[in-house]
Amino acid sequence: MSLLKAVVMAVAVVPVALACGQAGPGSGSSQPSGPPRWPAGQVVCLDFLGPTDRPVFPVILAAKTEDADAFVRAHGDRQILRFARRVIAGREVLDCAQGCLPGPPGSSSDRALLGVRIWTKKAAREIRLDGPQALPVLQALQKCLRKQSAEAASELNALITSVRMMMDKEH
Amino acid sequence: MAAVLLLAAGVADAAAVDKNILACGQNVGRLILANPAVYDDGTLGGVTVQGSFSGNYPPLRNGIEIRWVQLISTTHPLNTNAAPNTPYFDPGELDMTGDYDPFYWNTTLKGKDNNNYPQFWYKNYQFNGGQGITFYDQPKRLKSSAPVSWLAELNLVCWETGTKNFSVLWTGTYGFNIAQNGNVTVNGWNELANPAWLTQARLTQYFPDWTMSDACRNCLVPEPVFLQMGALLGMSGLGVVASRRRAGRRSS
Repeated sequence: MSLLKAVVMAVAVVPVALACGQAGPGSGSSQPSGPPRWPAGQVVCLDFLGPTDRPVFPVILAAKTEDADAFVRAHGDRQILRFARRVIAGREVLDCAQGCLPGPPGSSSDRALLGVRIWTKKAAREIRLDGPQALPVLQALQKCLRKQSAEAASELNALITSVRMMMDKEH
Repeated sequence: MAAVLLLAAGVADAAAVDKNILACGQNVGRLILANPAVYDDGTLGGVTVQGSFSGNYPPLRNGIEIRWVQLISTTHPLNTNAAPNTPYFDPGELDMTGDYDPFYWNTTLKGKDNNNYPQFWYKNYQFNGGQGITFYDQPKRLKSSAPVSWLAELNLVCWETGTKNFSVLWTGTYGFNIAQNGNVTVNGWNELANPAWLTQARLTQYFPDWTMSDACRNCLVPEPVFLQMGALLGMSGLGVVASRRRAGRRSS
């Protein structure tokens, strides 16, 4: 089975991103307790999964440009990934973000509004989140990115607003 | 040259539209649009299109920027009060990531909700120092909403930076359908001689202060005065010759 096919898409709803910067769901249950660490070479790609007119481009979070390039090369949807917004962040920001990443399972795919692809050259998984799950994750990640710069944090605005608009439409 | 532009736009497929755009008989630049491709991830169906326009300065005059204006008519409108199958501007007027201008990419970094949206800011889609601009769209609808029809009218326009006036240089349509069985099909590029949905009335309805004007006057470097005078003199000269001929015929 390819890495792409090994993506995780489960159905149950779980609380996510409760306390970023501390050992959270994204840091993995098998890891010893302590502050989460962004694994070397890891890339996180955030995809809006709702219906759109104008595309909401994915946001790629990585430590190095080469990591982001490797992720794009490895994926079949590289056409839209060429337009993805990239945030190349420092160690403190990435470690903070690591603690905010959701752990599986996520949402059923039909209602999912956000895809979180967590990728390294050796392993890949995707967690799909519906609106109420996605919003706190995005807001927590944005809080981490503010440590980098206001510009970096603003890269998540399109995802946050698009998720919010879709949630408003559903209610 | 065309290959370079294709690469600049990230276009991999053979271009469906690859042509020089003329305004008043002058070549104002090259338009390249790839064939629209089906988007189908199992849950959502849609279409992917991309392309670019690379402007020639001159005859385009300084202070002019090239922009895209897109209108949509669909069975399933999004972020708009427009009724189904009624054209509306993309992004819809209720889309908080949009701004207050009629263009596809935002003119301002800030959206309607005052947040910054770098991924929608037109400056991030310009190339060649602002003389070219990229187009990319990937509209999608839930397959569970089928049947769906979605059609766009894309307009290439020239805009005098900072004003509320633009002129249409080229128009084409594309779109997609989702059949009841979930099958996604694409409508390829169909070039139009003139916009059908982008009318002054509709522009005024959504953007009350905005106007459309003639591309020859708005986009191009004005011809030197001596050429204009020469043209006038030439025409009057021809008139003199014609009247002499008529007079000659009458007298013979």
